[in-house]
Amino acid sequence: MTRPRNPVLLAVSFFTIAMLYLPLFGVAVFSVNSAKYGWVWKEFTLSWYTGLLANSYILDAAWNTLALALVSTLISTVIGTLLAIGISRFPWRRRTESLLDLLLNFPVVIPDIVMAGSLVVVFSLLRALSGLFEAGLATMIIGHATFQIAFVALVVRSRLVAIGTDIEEAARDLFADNWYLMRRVMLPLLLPGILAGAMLAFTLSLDDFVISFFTSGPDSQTLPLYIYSAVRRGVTPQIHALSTLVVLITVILVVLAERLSRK
Amino acid sequence: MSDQQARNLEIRGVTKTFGQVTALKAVNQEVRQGEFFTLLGPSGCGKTTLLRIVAGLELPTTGTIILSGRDITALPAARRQVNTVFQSYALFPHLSIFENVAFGLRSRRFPEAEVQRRVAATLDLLEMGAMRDRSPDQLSGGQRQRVAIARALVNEPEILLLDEPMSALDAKLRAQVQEELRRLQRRLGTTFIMVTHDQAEALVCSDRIAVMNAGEIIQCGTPAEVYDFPRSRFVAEFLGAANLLPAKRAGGGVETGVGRLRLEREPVWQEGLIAIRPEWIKVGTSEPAVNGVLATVEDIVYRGTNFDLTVTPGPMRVRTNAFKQFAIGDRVWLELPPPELVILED
Amino acid sequence: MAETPILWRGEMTTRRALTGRGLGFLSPGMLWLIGFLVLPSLLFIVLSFAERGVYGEVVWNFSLANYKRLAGFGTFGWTPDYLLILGRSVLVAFVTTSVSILLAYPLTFFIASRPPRSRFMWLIILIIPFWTNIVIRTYAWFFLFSPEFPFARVAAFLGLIEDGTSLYPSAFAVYVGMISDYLPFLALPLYSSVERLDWSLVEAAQDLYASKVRVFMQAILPQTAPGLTVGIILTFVPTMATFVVPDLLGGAKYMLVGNLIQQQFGPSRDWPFGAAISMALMLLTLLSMRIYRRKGASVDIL
Repeated sequence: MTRPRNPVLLAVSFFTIAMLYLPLFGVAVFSVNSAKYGWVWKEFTLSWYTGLLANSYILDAAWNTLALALVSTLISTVIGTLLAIGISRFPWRRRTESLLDLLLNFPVVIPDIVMAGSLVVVFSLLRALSGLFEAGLATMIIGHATFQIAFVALVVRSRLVAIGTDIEEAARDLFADNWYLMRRVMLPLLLPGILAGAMLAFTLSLDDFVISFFTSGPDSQTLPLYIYSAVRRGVTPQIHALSTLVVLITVILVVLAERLSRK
Repeated sequence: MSDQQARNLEIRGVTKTFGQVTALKAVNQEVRQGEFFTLLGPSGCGKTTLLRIVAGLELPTTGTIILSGRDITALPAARRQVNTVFQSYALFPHLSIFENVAFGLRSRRFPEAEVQRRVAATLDLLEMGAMRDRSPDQLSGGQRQRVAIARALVNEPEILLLDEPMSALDAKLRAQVQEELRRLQRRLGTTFIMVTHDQAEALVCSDRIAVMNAGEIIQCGTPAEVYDFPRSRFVAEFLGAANLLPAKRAGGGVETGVGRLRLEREPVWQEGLIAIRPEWIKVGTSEPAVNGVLATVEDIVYRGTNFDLTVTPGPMRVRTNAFKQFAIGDRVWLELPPPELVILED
Repeated sequence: MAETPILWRGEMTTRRALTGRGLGFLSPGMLWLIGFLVLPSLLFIVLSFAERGVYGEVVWNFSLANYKRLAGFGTFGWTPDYLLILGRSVLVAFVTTSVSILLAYPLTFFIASRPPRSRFMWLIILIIPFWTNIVIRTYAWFFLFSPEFPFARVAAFLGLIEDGTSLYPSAFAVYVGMISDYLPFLALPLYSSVERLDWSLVEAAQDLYASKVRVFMQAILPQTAPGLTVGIILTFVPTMATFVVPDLLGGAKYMLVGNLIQQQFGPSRDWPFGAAISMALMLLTLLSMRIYRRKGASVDIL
């Protein structure tokens, strides 16, 4: 389609894109400006970036962010994949199926702040049972995995539906046993879906703020949490540098994910 | 050849219900060794269900399937010497053509040398040797169909099942592939059972056709038998065009809307239907000796090799060769030869 | 009955064996979601009827006190404060969603009309903000709106704000932040529908000399309705519940329901009241979506 060629359309589009990117761009520019305050350009510097490496709070936060994303993604990818297989490969009754559907869509539509609040309450009760539920990285991982599982399962399930039943029956017709079917047909075909689901889960974890904010403990700062609390103490070029880095990582992840999913 | 061997496949009293829906009603049918057998019927008639039961992908509710004297009803697909060409072809998209064809041998852990030999031979048989390293999405529809057939045949099945094998091909290719399939079956001598809703396809390919409707096989015979002597209105109408004339028994023949007609034998009913194919009606300018009908040409359609006329009384469809020229409004004599008048049983 | 064999996807098995195996696959995920999502949500409903103890602990005495308080009936008579916040949240979500629709249509049309090669790049440009952490994107506006920067200078020159102050906290800053933060949530699902748009219908409408509004309402809107609906849900639900944007850009001046909930779980430590507000939030969100569905249906008939 190459239809609309309207100047108003063009103007609105560029205005919107500017609105999305101007702030990020501004922050990036001032992250390499040696002036500490105000609307002045002094000279190009990377000192704010190198300064990040010297800041142990930021290094800890970066480590926590990564650990949180990796562990929660791992958990949710395994559980979500099993869930997707369990839902779509067995002859459940219609009622069971719609209940499972509801369960999958629940985390997608529930406001994150409500989910976060309810987790706070549950963790406070569970704390009586086990130290695992002390506010910290563990509770954050549980919180993240809870919304990631549903997304992974939805992605893997749509892949399972796309594969269809013919392929499986053809493999059976060609004398495949359970193990051969899994190893030679289902896993290779499902792998792109599982990877896409894991990628989505990872990005969701990096993108989250609310769940982390509610379930974090004193020693489990993440980068978004760090930036949020730093802003309230005032704007500094170091936060510009940190923000720009996070945006760059996001860009890389998005481009990678798009490349992968286009294959 | 003993009777037992000749009966390659026996379907005995097979019923299939899905919840409240009855897909098959006590089907009995035998398929002879080495024949090209076709299940023909409209969608939803149960033909695919029957094929899946033979394939071992569906269990019959009641009844048994006997292959070369052995009851295989309770055996799944993986334990039957029967292989299927799926309607979607269901090729493994992540495997090369060679590995697709080798799948059935590898899953049974055949030695590598034999896998290589048999796959290469089968690919050559279907003229797909040059494609062995391609992936399925690099092939055309016709090539994919060949791979699907090769993938099934490499296992040397007693029966090859084909579920609407032409449905993914365009019309022009279809005609060519039908003849190739027929040749392939003759050459191998393997029993083929094909499911189709396309009557022309069934007529071209088959040794015998079983026409199905509403979960039952209503007529089975050679293409010529089913086409020329349909036993029921459904078969007459489903296979090609037919003129159906309501008739009443009278004297030595029947009384119909186009006049009194003589028949070769007595109908069993008092009132029923007589069928005649458009191409068996002869058109002339003088009154024929028997079963002559004076008619008016109402409409003419040119079909290249012939004309299709619509005439009254009837109205009837008449097919004439392209040399005879008629105009709308012409008065013509039709001859409905008694041997071509089929008495329908329903 | 359960032991009769069935053929399932080419495998000979029994219904009981299949159910057992299926439950094996399902149980980790189901247990997790029930344990950390379903039961907590149910508990949350119960909690909203409980009361706060002196030290912020939960006292399981059930009453409607939290809801009464939310409706404005406090110890010192009736105040509209909480209801105002709830109403304002609906307004902000409604305005944000509407403006996002107005901006997203031209943008998605623009992207869809690019040649295939560069379309991918434009799409990435839309996807990147979608995945960028909201704290960073809000922080960026916070930074751009500081006193020395052109935006605040122009506003001060026009006499809209005092010289030397920032553009935040203000309703304006909240709206700018909200729209730019949540617009991708609407534009991306919408794009998937716009990409598949059948232009022959649009041309047919134009051939019949329909006005631009009618072309949009009758040829474009019905075709893009699926993507638009997903987009509206993805935008409206989080905008109703957001607290980062109003916290950084609105302050106490422009508080939304998200901030109110956050307060109960943060400094005020009044979980039962927080739960009650959450229930009100969910109710309002569902209600708004229902109204949209009704209106959406009537649009179709047009």
